[in-house]
Amino acid sequence: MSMRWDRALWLWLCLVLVGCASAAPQAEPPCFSCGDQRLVRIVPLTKLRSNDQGSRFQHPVNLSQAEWETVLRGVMVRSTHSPLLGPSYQGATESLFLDEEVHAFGASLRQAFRQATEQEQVVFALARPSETGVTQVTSGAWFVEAGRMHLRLANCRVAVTMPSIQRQIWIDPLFAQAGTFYELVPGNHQTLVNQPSGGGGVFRLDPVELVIDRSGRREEVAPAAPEGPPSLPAVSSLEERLAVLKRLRDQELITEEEYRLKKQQLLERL
Amino acid sequence: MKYSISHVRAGIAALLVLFALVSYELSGLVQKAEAIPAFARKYDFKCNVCHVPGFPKLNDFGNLFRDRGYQLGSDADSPVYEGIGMGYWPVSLRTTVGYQAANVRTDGSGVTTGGFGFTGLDLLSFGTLDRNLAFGVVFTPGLGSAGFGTGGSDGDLEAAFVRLMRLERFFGVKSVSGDYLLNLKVGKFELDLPFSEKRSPTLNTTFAMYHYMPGTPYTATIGGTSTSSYLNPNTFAIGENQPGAELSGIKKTAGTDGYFRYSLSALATNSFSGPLSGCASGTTCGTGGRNVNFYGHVTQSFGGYGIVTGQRVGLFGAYGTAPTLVNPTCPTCQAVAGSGQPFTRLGVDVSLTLNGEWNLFGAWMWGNDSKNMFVSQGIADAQNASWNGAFVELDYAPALLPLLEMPDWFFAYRYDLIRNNRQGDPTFAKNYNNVDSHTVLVRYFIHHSTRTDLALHAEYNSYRTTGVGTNGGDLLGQTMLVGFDFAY
Repeated sequence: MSMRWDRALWLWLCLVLVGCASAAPQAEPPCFSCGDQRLVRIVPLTKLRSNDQGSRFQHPVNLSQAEWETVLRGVMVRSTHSPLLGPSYQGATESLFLDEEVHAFGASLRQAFRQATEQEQVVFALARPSETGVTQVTSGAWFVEAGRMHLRLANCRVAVTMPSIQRQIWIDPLFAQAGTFYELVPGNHQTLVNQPSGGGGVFRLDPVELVIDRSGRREEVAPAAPEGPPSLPAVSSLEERLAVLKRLRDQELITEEEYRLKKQQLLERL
Repeated sequence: MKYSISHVRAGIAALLVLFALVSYELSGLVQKAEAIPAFARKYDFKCNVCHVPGFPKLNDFGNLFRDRGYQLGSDADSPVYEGIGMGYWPVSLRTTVGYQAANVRTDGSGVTTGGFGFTGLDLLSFGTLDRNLAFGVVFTPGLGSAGFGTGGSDGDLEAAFVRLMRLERFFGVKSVSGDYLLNLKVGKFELDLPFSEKRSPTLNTTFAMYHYMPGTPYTATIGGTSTSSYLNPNTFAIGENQPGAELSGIKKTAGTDGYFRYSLSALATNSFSGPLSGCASGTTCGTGGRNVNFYGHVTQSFGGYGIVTGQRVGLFGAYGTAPTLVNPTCPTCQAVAGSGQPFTRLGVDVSLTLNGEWNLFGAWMWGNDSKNMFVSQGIADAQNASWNGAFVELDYAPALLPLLEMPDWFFAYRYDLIRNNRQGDPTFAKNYNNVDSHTVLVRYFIHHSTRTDLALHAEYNSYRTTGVGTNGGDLLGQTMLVGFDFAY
């Protein structure tokens, strides 16, 4: 083999390594829960790999804490097993979110949706560590469209042991890992979307999507006529939004930097 | 048909392009395969719970799972646990199919070979017989067409062992959860190497240090050739699976947020160790011998296990006596050599990690073989053979490949070297059989669900062995493998 070919191989390897090392870190969007075990944050559609670009969601949304907890408790899953021998079988239907997760998760979602704009989704990730060293991770995105709540679920109790993979999910909660053993079980007034409009791709698994027609307070979550004015209680005026933003900063729920960034975004819409 | 080096270049280039294209196209198959590796099936885990992307390298969790006797510490460890699917059967298979090529040159001329085939077939069964009672069996059928047409005709039980875990409890020591202080493995198994060769992503290139033997020219796994050598009756190589017994243990060390591991093996060689006849007066004729050799390895990690997170340092070594063979032209020489002559191996290993995606690791080892081994071969003025071996490998396993934003890639580069200090046969040059070997590889997980592993693998190796070629020239070799590596 000539030196030229040797050099070409080395150059190829170096390009790969340098490219990997030089990838610029992306700025973290403001989040409402930023721990190792729970993440809730608003993400502009432009930063999501989805076909929702250009969509207009009915955000912000102002559901109460109790309503969010009702929504969360209404999401059901069941385990699925496909053994080598014998027929496939499913486990019992159970709530996706545990009781101990619902309160704090609901509070974070409530805060996020009060600030989300019509071009933003609320992404989330939950980690459930265990003594065995395996962490179950659930992640995805929420949004409200045409008066209906959507849950786009990329990972459902996926077992993760590699910190880099969990970190990647935290960066992009719609980053779907292979190998889920759970499937969503739609309940009353819930519909599964077989081919959601985004999140997957050529090199990625497609998430599943659950559409929730009504929750504990249908009259607030799901307007009867999508064409009409949304019945969702929205924080509509700029003044109100700025006031909410200021209150969140004063309560130290968001940082000064997040406050300035969000305020600037709101003012730019004038 | 005679192939030129330019053919090899063109072939490699074409196959790398093909690799990229095929990986792109096949990525759409993700989530569709249905095969079931044993542990994934047992625990309902996908493969990268225990492996870094691009198996078979184990991640921290996978290493701990192995160290703890294939147990998580949950009820599911028991093979009779009710929650385990009825289809559970602890058997897996693994092979690689694809195209392999080699080019070997010495003294200005060379030969190129290449063709489609498969590396061989491993039938693996690992698991637990009961809590704290593990087992492992690896059977390789004797397929003449294996190894890309160069396989042996005899099958081999590469590994067969039983592991008794947590024996400390019989000595009144109660270990904390996750610690396995005293474990006994009996059978035939891979030694606790600095970095497991069986779990290495390189398929076409061995760790030179693990198998090196003074006097025996190093050649690549395939396509190697040489024209000179001197006899060495020592057949011990730490990279070979050995029959014996191993005591081992692992303990989490709170002070370092890491783990202390140890292993000590007594290994029985079953080779001939003494002359069957023609014994000199005063010596005992042997009837075939068993020599006991020893191998040990201790490691301490900091901030994790040291493969994906944290750092790790280790010490290892081996001592034993190698059975010497009768010199057919000089039976009485055996009396001089004795039936077993000592050899020593000592080394250190280091593993560094960065960001959970980079792993830089390597080892250095010093080896020494007694001069009496060479005396037994009738080599005049024989002397101790000593040498140094080392390797360093950089692995990159990104959760998501930057720029392309693709998951499931694995890249590696390894440099192997051998430097001889003194030859057993003094007529050979000091640098005879020195080795420099460079290996690069890339793997892409086409599929790694909860059921099976399927990876596209491309590996290229270039090596130089000093003075073993025609007319004392160097042996230059290249090997290349592009194929599908799958486990079921």
